[in-house]
Formats: sequence, structure tokens, C-alpha cells
Amino acid sequence: MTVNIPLLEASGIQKSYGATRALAGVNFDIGRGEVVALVGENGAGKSTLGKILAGATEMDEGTVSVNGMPVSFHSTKDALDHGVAIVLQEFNLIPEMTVAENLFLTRPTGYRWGWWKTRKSQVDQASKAIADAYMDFGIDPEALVSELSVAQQQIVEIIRSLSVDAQLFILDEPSAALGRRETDSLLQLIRRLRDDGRSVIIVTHRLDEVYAVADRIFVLRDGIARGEFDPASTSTDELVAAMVGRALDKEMHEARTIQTPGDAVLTVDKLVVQGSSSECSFQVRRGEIVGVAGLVGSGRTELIRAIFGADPAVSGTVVLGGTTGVIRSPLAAVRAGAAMVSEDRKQLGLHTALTIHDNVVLSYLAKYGKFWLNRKKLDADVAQQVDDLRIKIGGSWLDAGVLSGGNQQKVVLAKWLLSKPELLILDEPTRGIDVGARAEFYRVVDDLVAQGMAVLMVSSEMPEVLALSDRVLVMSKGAIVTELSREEATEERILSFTEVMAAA
Amino acid sequence: MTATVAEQRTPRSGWSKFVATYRIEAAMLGALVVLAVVLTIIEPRFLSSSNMQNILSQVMVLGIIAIGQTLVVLTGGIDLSVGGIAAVSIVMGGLVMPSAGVLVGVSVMLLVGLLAGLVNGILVAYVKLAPFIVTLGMMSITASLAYVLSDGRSIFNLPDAFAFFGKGNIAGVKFYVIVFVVLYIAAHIFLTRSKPGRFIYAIGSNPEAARLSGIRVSFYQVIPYAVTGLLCALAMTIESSRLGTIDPNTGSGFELTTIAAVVIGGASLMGGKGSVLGTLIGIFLIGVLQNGLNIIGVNAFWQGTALGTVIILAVVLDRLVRVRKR
Repeated sequence: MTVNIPLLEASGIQKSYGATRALAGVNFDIGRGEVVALVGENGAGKSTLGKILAGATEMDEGTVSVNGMPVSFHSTKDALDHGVAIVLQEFNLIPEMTVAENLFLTRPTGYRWGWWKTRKSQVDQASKAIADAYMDFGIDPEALVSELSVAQQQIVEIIRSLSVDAQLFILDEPSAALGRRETDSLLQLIRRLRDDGRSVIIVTHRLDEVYAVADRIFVLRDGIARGEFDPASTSTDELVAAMVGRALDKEMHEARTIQTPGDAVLTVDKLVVQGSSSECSFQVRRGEIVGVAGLVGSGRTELIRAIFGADPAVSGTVVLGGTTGVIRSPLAAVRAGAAMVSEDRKQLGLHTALTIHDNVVLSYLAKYGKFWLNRKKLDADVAQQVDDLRIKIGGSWLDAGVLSGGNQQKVVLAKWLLSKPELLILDEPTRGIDVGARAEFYRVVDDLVAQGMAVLMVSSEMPEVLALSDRVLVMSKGAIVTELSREEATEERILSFTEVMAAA
Repeated sequence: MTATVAEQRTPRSGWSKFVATYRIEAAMLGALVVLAVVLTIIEPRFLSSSNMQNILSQVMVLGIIAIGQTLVVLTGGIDLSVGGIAAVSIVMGGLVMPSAGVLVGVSVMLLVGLLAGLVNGILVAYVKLAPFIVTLGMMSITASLAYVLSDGRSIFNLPDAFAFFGKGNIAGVKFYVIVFVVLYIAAHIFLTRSKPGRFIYAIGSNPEAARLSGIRVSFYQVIPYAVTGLLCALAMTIESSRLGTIDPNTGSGFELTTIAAVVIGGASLMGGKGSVLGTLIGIFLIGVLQNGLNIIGVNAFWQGTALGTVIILAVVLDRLVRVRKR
């Protein structure tokens, strides 16, 4: 295609939030039918740039032109009028309405004569839209959005946003809540948009997606463009080096110090989780990490939530720290020596309105606390944890909500470590955390395991599971379908089990 | 973005930690002082000891109840039934007092308040009903029961000894002033230095995260409602003793004034943010405002306008302070 004028061109984009500069004069352009990946660590400014281009955020300085004509976007609607649409990280769905109603919210369809007949046609159209987007993952168009899982909601949001007629689609971390299969469908959808001559900017920090779909990679670091790369001729290491500003080397896989595990800390025997009929049995021993792999909806999170007593199991036995039987509440699990870093940090892990100190002491107090606090001891303990985990903070009396994702996750971890657990359960521990902070987190976990901690980890990040786990349990449809050793486990092997079982 | 700013700050002294924690309270205290100075300039009688005592006795009842309201709001709840509980508890106590004596009478008052509060708490925490609905229902029930039991008439024939709570002195200080001061200090220490106190903040800020941290959320959710019920009864015991009569037609508007005091004091109705120090300042700000408008001769009809303006300004100020921080 010979295109002289780019579809969209931005130059000298500047944006500051208070004293912090998010973007310091960035030039960017994208042509017709092109897919550009916008990558960088958290706080690099990639989401900010995406939002400015889509009118969701106003820039301080700079110019944007579409088809060579200067434009100025004050809202996403302005941008849409010029053919630029955005899929935001946050959901804009109405939870009390059905999937079909949400899909056609902005352009009501079929409410003309008699609601029953037309409602049916709306449902049919919704089914068609879902199938067209390769997203047929059993989402019922008549289900309320509030009944869907986070991944399914994300899918509905994507389908809705991509169904508008636009020349350029900007996707801000679209796969953050998606599993492997959903992500693959999303990538397929992006390719089709490109084949239709549409352009796509995908903001992400999942490099596998970048390589799978992008024509060009645009790297940002600290609000400054750090280069553009051709995926065909750029290695992951080069890309990561540009993103973090230093070579990350093969740190991850070698981060683990493998040792012979000790005695069993957790024994799960014939545990049946709510809403499932499969019995799960396995052990986690001192000094090892057991990874749990599987697709979204394979029952991984449900299994560990049952072990932790968050949603008590129906039947079966959990042997942990002197207790035997079904664990009925998180408090019982904490007392038995378990700790759980939850999947959704802001909803389930962190108290963003509380100070760092108040966050860190909670589980310790729940487990050991007397009526009156021993403030001297608590202050010292919190300071120790902050030190050990290298949490970068101005002071432990600052609100936890102002920290970066990586530091927030460390605060959650510090909370659990203070309660001196024997078993650490991690559910998607590095979701939404940038590359540098991840490596740091892996190091911390490895240290803990070396000191004898037993770790049970659920993760959708395959490289993470492979790099960290001593053993991998593969789950499908609520059952553990196989167990692989560290040597046996490869991405292909794990996927072969999940796919086979999902198809069955 | 905001994170980097906070993270770059170097550790500071205990004083700045105090300032960081009580920023909003300090701002509202400043507003209170300014208001007092302005009122004194307009009308020097404002500072007279008789007027000060006047303010104190006005603020006392709602101030005590507002402690409980603060606890409830901190958990993310709200208690609309404070006025009704206050009324029904003193009426029930007042009915038995002439025959059963002061001690039994007062015990009945406190017990009824505590029980009503417990019912609120259990319905909210264990039956998982919305606090607004539960306490709205309780407000209606208790206010109506107060009329039913008293037949709508005030109770006058109270034993002389009952007057101690509202009029008695200990070492030259009014008994109720001592109760007030002790309660505020106790509540402050409870919230900042006890396990249940810290858990109340955690539950208000994120109940599910609190549960997953191993906190028995329902148990700790009951406490604030029970305490509020008890404090409603205690406050009205003092007030009816001071007035020498028990009036079933009491307590209307208590919920709005106490919630206003809590909000003016910097608490968030979403829960997790606030302090009894803030509430103390809030209740005095309201008291001084009403008293001041009275003594400078403003038509009483204007009080609502003034109070409403202060509530809204307080929330705006709170927003400004928080944004500046970010």
C-alpha cells in the first residue's frame, strides 16, 4: 500500500499529572491497515498516549491530525466522529442489563413493534456479533452482565467497542483479564480488522501478543519514545531492554533455586468445589512451588478459594497445619497457616484507602492480635517487612492506594508474611505489574521458598508458571487432568491437556 | 503517575505523620476557630461563660451520639435510627423509674438502647440487609413505640436522684462534661490502638479484602451499631435528667445532625475514612454556628441554610485537600 499521509499523526505530545510528567514530547503515527503495539512498563505513558489519541484524556501540548487534517479531541465522541475508537481498561458496561442490551446500548436495535419479537431479534443479533468476533465462549446474550466473569465482561466490552464503525481502534490492555483462548480470539479479531483496512493500536505489556499481531512496535519509557521495532527482526531481549532500560537476561527461569522439597504442608484429598463434581487431590511440600495452569474458567481460582475457605468446599479433606477437614472461613485458613494473595488486588487484596501500615498489620492482628495493639512491635515489624521486600515508599503512613502496582502487590505480600504462614497461595500474582517489578517479585518468592515456604500458584502467564514451578498441575473443567514435573512441563504440553479436555 | 510522587518523598518526622493523618481535621479546626473569632467580633457576648455553657449543653447530646455514628459510618454503614432509639429507651426507663428506682430505670434505658442497636447490627452484619433500610425501619419502629408506651405524654414524676446525670457535679465539673470527655478519649483510643478499632477501618474500606485477610467481618460490623444504640440511650438519659422530664417527642433530626457532624469531620460515607476527633470538631462547628446565628439575632429559619452550606463546603474542602495530596 502506498500511503503518503498517515491515517493518524501526532507530534510533540506532552502531558503532565501534577508534578509528574507522563509524556514528554512524543511523536507517533500509524498508517491505514497497520497494527502498532504500544509497549512499555507501567507508568511509561503508553496508556496515557492511547487515551490522548482517542480523546479520553486531553493533552497539555502537541498536535494530532487525522488524514492530514489537524484535529482536536475533547471527548471520545469527538474522536469517534473522526473515526477513532477506544476500548478502555475500565468497563463501561451496565451490570443490571443483559449482554444483548449492553451490546446495542449506544445504537438501540429492534424496539419498534412489540418488545417480545424484537427482543428476540436483538438477542439473535447479539449472538451473531459474538460469533463474528470469534468470541463464542458460551456467553449467553440474555444473561445479565453482572452474572458474567471478569473475562466474559471484558469480551463483551471488546465486542461492543469494536462493533462501531471506525478507521482506528485503540485497545488499552485488552487482554489483562483474558485467558489464553480468549486472547487468541482477540488477536484473530485484530487481524481481521487489519485485513478490512482498519488500523489498530494495541497498548499492552504482554510481549507474546505483540509478536503475534503487531506490524510495528513502539516502545515508551518514562514518557519518551525509545524507538520503533520490527517484530520480525527484534528479539524479546532487545525489546525488554528498550522497555526497562537494562538487559533483563534470562533472569526469570534461572531465578529459581531448585531444592529437594521437605514434608507436606498442604494435603488436599478428594476436595469437591462448589459448582463442580470433580474430586481434586494433591500435596504441596515445604520448599517447592506448585503451579496450577489451565484456561480461564477451568476452576483454578475456585479450587484455591475453596482451600483458603473463601468459598468453602462441598466435601473432601484439607490437611493443613494441624487442621483436617473442609476449611470454612479465611480466618480458619489463616490460623492454620495459609496466606492468599488474591487475583484482583484492588478488589480483594488491598485497602487502598488505608495506610500502608494499616494494610500490613491486618492478617497478623487477625491471627495473633490481642485487644490492644502493641504499637512499638507493629511499627518495627512493618518496617522490617518494608525493608525485606524493598517496598519503595515515603512512609508507612501514606495511603496504599498511591503506590505503583508492583509496590501494592508487595504490600499485600508483606501483610501475609507478617502472619508467618507456612503455605503461600498466589493467584495471578503479577497481573498488571510491569516487567522490572515482576523480576523483583519472583526473587522475593524464590527467597521465601528457599527458606522453606510452600507455594501454590495459579497463573495465566505461561512463562511464569514454567519458570517458577517445581511441579505443574493442569486443570480443565474443574478437574486436575495431569501433573507435570519441572522438566516435563512445556507450554505445548500444558496446552495439549487443556485443549483436549476442553474439546471433550 | 501519582505513585512516583509519593514514593520519592523521603521519610519524615512523627509530626508530619500526624499532619498527614489529621489534615482534614486540622482544616476544620481552623474553620471553627475563624467562625468563633468572627462571632466574637460581631457580638462579644459570644465568649461569655454563660454562652459557652449553653453551647456545651447543646452539643453534649448529639456529640455523644455522634461518636457511635462515626463508628457506623467508618464501617461503610449509616444509622438513621439514633433519634428513635434515644426516645424509646428513655421512655421505657422513665416508665419503670418511679416504682423501680433510679438505678433500675437508668439500666433499662441503657439496655433498651443497646438491644435496639444490636438488632440493627445483627440485621446488617448477619442477615446482610442494607444499613439504610434496616435503620430506617428501626427509626420508624422505635419512634412509634416511644409514643405508644408513653401515650404521647411527657413523664414528669421522676425521682430526685435522677437529676444527678444532668445537673450533678464531680469535683466542680458537671458530670455530663466528664462523661463527654471520657467517651471521646476512649473512642479515640479504641479506634487507633485496639484491634477491633483497626478492623472497623479495614471493613469500611474494603469488606471482602478484610474477610480474606482473616477478619471476622460480621462480628466487627455489629459492634458499631450496638455502641451507637447504647450511646443514644446514655445521651438521652443525661438530657432528660437535665431537663427533669422525659419527652417521647424527642430525637427527630438527630440522625441528620450526627451524620452532618461526622461528614464535616472528614469522614467518608463510603467507609474507611474519618476519626472521632473530626466528629468532635464537626459537632462543635454545628453547635457554634447555630448558637452564633442566634445571638447575633439572625432569624432561626436561616439555620438550615447555614448548616447545609457548611456541610457542602466541608465536603468540597475535603476534596480539595485530597486532590492537593495526590
